[in-house]
Amino acid sequence: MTQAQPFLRLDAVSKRYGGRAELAVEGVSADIREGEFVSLLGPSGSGKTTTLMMIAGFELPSEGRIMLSGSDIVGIPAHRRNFGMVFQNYALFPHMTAFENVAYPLRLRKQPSSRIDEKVKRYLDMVGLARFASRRPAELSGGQQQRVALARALVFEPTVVLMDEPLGALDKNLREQMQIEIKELQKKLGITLIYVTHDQSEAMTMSDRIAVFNNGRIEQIAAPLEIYRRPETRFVGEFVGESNMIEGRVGDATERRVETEIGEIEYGPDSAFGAGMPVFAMIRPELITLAEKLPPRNGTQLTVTRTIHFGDRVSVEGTTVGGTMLRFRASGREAAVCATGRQVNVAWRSDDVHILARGQ
Amino acid sequence: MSAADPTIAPASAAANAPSGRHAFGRGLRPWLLLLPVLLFVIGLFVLPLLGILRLSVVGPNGLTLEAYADFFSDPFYLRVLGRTLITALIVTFFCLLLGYPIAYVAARYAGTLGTALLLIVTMSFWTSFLARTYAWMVILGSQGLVANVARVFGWEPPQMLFTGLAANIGMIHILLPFMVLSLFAVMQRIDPNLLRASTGLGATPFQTFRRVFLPLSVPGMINGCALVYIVCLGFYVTPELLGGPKDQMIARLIGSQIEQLLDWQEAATMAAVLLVVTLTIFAVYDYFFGLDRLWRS
Repeated sequence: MTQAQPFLRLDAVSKRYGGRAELAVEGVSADIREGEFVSLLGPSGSGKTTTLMMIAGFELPSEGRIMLSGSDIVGIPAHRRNFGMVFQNYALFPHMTAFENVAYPLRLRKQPSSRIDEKVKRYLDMVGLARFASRRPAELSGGQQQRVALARALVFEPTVVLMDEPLGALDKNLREQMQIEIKELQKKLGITLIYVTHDQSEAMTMSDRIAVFNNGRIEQIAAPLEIYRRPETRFVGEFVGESNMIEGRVGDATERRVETEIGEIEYGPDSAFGAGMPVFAMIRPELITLAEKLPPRNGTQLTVTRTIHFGDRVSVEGTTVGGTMLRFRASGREAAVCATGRQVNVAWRSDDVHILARGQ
Repeated sequence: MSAADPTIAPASAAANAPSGRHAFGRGLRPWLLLLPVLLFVIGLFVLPLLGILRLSVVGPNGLTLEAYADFFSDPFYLRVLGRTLITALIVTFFCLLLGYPIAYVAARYAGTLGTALLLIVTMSFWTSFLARTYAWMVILGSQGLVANVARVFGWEPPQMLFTGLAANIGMIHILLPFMVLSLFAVMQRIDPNLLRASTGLGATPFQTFRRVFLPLSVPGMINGCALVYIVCLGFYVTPELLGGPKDQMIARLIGSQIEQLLDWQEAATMAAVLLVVTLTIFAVYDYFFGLDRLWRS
């Protein structure tokens, strides 16, 4: 099977800042397809922004190559890469109007003014700001400023668009609205977009694929649901969504059972582990349900230690006799059953159990 | 708000009455704090200044504008005033020219280089301008550093000390820190992300400077120029010590009116003219750019 040449390829890229012993980014490799929306997700200091800055050309990799359509772009300065960039603090030019800000990249490209006029208007209209063209950034709200920044990053039809936590400064409702808008624009215009965020739900809702960063490395790069359902490392499982990680060892590999403190746990067919291997059995809280009776397997008895009400649902924490803590969800109606101190039976399906390797 | 809602107005007025007395006491307190400095400024600055203005219009035979008529009809005086305005312009221009790169490097390269530059600028700021003026006398004198170095290369330099050139160099040197610090204060606040954004959008480093950094540093340029220009208008010692008799500025002229001619009225008139010129520049600056910015940044 021959694969099309990747559009943007990071090839074992590392970054060491002068004088520091540890690497800020360590051997990051990824292939990004044309028109793909890839999020770089991770906690602060995980190397995701540094990676973005190296793609943009604002930082030079200490090692490795960054390839665009097969040629190395590391030596090309940022202003000749033709990448659009959106910053968290918008970085609009305060001395220019919204129109002038969007026109800026076109003016640099010496496009004729009639064309600039037409394009700027079209892109301002696309982000819903046609009426605000003559306003200065200081006269625009945060959301409007970010839309101008968006239009400015798209108007010159860049090869790749890079966004560094673009919605980080906006409030929750606006952020969710902008997520949808950015995603729709990206799809409509077929933009290749690399999006840095520390917000896992943002990455989940917007991305075609997510690269989860930790300590300067990519722990896993995959589609959002794949990341959610089958995390490859404990970090990914815990960083993306809530999870119960139950320590154990593979017992009977053909029967797909893990021996744990809360008994044998059966797992789904997707994992291949040999007998005796140390593993985590991961179960998402929303896949654990209350049960009338204690099932023979794939279930346990819990003493409820804490409940958090969200109105429509309840997040419940309980411990087993052996002291293992499990978290699960109950509906608002079931809240009374799960009051603190009560004993409840919970169960899950073996297909919902994901096994991942556990270091010694 | 009281007129809009008659039902609330009396109640709120009543509620405010006791606190109103307090507010009166509170309103007085800042003035009490200001009293010493007010007395100082009024007694030692405002009154003498009014005295000077009075001096300029009171002749032996009562009120007269004769001294002003003298001043504005005397081509020599007008030439000195014109020279003062032009010299200040030249000094300001060169301060900007020399100060801009210094402030730029200090603001953009905040590491050791920037700190070192700022330290040097501030140190010269702290050094007495008299000492610096004398230093220029040593450097530019006929047996000074510049002349002797030139002679080593077999070139006999023209007279440098006691010329307009020496006076200008001295004033530029003394006023340069004002310019650098004014520029630096503004440049330092320019968000480096804006420069990155510009680069990312396709601007060469020069285009980024020209289209983003330079326009954003204009407030610093205006502040620095206003400050340097106004201080330069009243410069006395430096042009007096470094310049020649043909390079007199108005402050020197005022001095000689008093010291040599004992013509207090003419001196007061010139001082008043200089004051009006300075205030006019302040007014223009305030109208366009706001005076508070000069002091804030």
